[in-house]
Amino acid sequence: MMKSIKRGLGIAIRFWRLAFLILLVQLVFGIIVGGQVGNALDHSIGFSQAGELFSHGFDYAVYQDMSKEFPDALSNVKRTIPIIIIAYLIISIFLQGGLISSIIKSEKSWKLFFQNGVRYYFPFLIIGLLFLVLIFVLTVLLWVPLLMNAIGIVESLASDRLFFYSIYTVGIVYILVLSLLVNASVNSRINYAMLHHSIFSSLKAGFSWTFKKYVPLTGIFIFFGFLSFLFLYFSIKIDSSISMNVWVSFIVTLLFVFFRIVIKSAYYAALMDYAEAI
Amino acid sequence: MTSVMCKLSISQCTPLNEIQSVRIADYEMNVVLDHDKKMATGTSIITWRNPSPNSVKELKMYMYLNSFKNMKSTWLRGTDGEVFGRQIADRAPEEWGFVTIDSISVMDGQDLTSNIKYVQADGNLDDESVLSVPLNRSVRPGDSIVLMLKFRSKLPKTIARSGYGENNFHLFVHWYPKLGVYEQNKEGIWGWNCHQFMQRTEFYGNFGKYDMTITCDDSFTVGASGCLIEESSTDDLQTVRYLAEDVIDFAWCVSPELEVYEDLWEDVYIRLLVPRDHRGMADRYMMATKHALQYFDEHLGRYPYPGITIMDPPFHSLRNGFMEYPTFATAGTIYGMPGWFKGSESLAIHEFAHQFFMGVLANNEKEEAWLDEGFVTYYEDRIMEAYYGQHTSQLDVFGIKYGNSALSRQEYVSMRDHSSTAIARPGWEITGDYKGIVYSKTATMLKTLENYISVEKMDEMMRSYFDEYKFSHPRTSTFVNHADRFLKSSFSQSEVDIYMNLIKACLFGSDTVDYYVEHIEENVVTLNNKGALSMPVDIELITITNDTIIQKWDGASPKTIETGDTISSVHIDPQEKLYLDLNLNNNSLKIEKSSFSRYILKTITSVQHALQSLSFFL
Repeated sequence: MMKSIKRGLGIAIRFWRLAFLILLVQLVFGIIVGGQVGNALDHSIGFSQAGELFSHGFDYAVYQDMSKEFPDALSNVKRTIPIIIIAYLIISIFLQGGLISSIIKSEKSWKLFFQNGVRYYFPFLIIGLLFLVLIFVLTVLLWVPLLMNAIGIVESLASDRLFFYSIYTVGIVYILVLSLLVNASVNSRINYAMLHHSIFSSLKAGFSWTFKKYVPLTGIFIFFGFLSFLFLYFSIKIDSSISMNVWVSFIVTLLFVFFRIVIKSAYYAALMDYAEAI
Repeated sequence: MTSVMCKLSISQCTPLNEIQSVRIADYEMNVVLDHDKKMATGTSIITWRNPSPNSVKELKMYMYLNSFKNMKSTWLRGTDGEVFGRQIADRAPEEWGFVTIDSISVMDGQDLTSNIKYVQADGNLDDESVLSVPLNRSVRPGDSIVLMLKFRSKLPKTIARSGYGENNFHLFVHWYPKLGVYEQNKEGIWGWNCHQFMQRTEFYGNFGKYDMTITCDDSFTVGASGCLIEESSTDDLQTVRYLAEDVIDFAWCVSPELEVYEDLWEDVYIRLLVPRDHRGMADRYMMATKHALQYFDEHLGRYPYPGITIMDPPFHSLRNGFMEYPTFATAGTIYGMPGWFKGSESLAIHEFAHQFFMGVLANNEKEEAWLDEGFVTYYEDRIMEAYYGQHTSQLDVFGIKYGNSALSRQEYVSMRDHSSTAIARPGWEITGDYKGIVYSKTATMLKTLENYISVEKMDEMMRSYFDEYKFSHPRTSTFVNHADRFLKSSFSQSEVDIYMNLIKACLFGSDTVDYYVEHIEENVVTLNNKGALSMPVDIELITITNDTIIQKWDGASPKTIETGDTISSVHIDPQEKLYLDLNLNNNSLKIEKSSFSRYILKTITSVQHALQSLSFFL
């Protein structure tokens, strides 16, 4: 496992240009929403001293007064976000196709990246959507009953600590099953890209690989997932606690986003390393 | 700063042995708790002194536990079967509660048991929350009557406040036959003030001495109003005796889960009862209580009791939390409460502050709740901000900050409808956002008044109010007259008129204020007010040559200001004194737009982080 993780990281660093491309695509989506937020603020408090106050740091009272006076100020943003998410997920299938195939072929050619992105788009889309549905079902099955009955459960338990422990327990089960699904999803795509079998055969092989090496693959998923979360946490923490120029802060945060993309590439590469071994 | 908590001898809470109030009703009760049946059975000796110039032929008693007897009570009829988000109508028979008098007699032997009957001012014959006790012989002015009762109090599975929960948690509040208040009404006519238990109303009682003996399982931790003065145990049972003097009520709890933390603030004994799961909060509660004691001592008056007990219920019994009783308050929290959220401290301080407003200044919580809830919220905000930061007292995480005063103001200004927000009304007359009106509008009004008259004058006014009316039952008119007198002694008549207009408009009316800058045109600026309430404010004008001009505006009618130079910005009330203003953002206008690059850039990277997180699973 550690060997695959190390190799994965090495490969991901070598393919940093692809990660940079993904960063740029995300940046475009970010700019669309960022522009709308800027417009909303301009129109509501742009010419108020409250805007000056707000621009120096988040002031909840200013935000509340703004929301009350301009309840629709952020409605464009709210409408755009779901569209952005769907659009990005659709595009990210293409990016993943290019990324996975480039890593498999160990070639850093842009041509190969785009060619294979197009070539694998629909098979990867089908695989991706199937697993997305499975993840959704898993989430609903595990979390909805717990959260819907939270008050009744807490009032029937002798200790609220037990309730939190039950959340942790469900959380651990969730991560373990989620890792299985995500690993199987990636392995299916790797199988498809490596062996060019049918989607169904790739799905079968993806699950088969994942079950066969469940423990190390789960370890890889948790390692990279945790690393990605750590980068997210520190990004938010540094951004909110250290006072620095907004542009410097922006660049630093972009770097954290970039590292998270590299981590995801490393995760793919590590799984591929295992797949090759199988 | 951390609190050092140590185990102290129980004698640290010593009754003062001095009479601070006019004691009208004294109670000597002796009860035994059967925790399997959730019932306290016992006796009560009530001594009542007639404070009126009339002979009294009937007594009236609160029997509030009967409000949880079934769905027919006036209190539960007002709920549509749902309390705190939970349906309660279909509960098992043993989960309901009641209080019943098995016998009642006068000390001289007259048996009154057959005389007693439930009375209902609202015509709901199924409501048994008020009991009438006709006397065979009237009580003459200044005379006393001693009643001897045998009664049973069966707790409901908690619906609201009083009740039992898991693992033998019991909270006994508004639990015993308790006399109403015989007093003069607003028209000066003597009679019983003893309302049925209704939604959005709390409690009202006479000052007196409570001598309370409780026998219960030896494994339970007992918490109660007053001081523990005796304890003994035999055969798995413990007997504790509490004495609470110059208080208007008595509450107690038992639970095997509660741990005891004790400390002193000067000579006041603080007793915290915290469930094992909430150990991490003990130090935070203790500090919050000490902060509150210190702050009140410096800004309002001396805490007049020898001790205070704060009980944090286990989470399964959170419905029992967040309530005030004399020298006993309930708080509430969850396991692992993060340090950046101070909601539990804020609520603990709120409930503690009721010791002053409700406990000592014992207003009628049913008819004029603002006199306690409003003042308590105002002081809660002040205390929280003094010790935890003006802008961070509620929340301080990842750059998002929120202070108590801002929260109170928001609760008021963000109400959907301001057309019926008069504060000084009985609870049952207030429809809509009760908290926004009674708690938050009052606190914001008081904060506005403080901003105008200065914190020092506010303290002076409140100190004299406390000194003059402590251990009495102040009414709205008491405070209004006091404020009028105080302000007249400190300010000019025109200023007094402005401040009294603010107080009266908020208490008795629904007028709002929302100043705004209509437009700037070169060297002319127009100001207006969307509301009907007005207060004088400063106007700060800055010209393009960077000159600052300060002008006054009474806010009563639109104002146009013309300057010799082009105006670059205008700010109404730049110090935000008029905190009641419904929208502070439109109080200013400038010709240059602010830059929001910080938010635009943050949004960009946040979107990127979110997309990256989502795509990790695809």
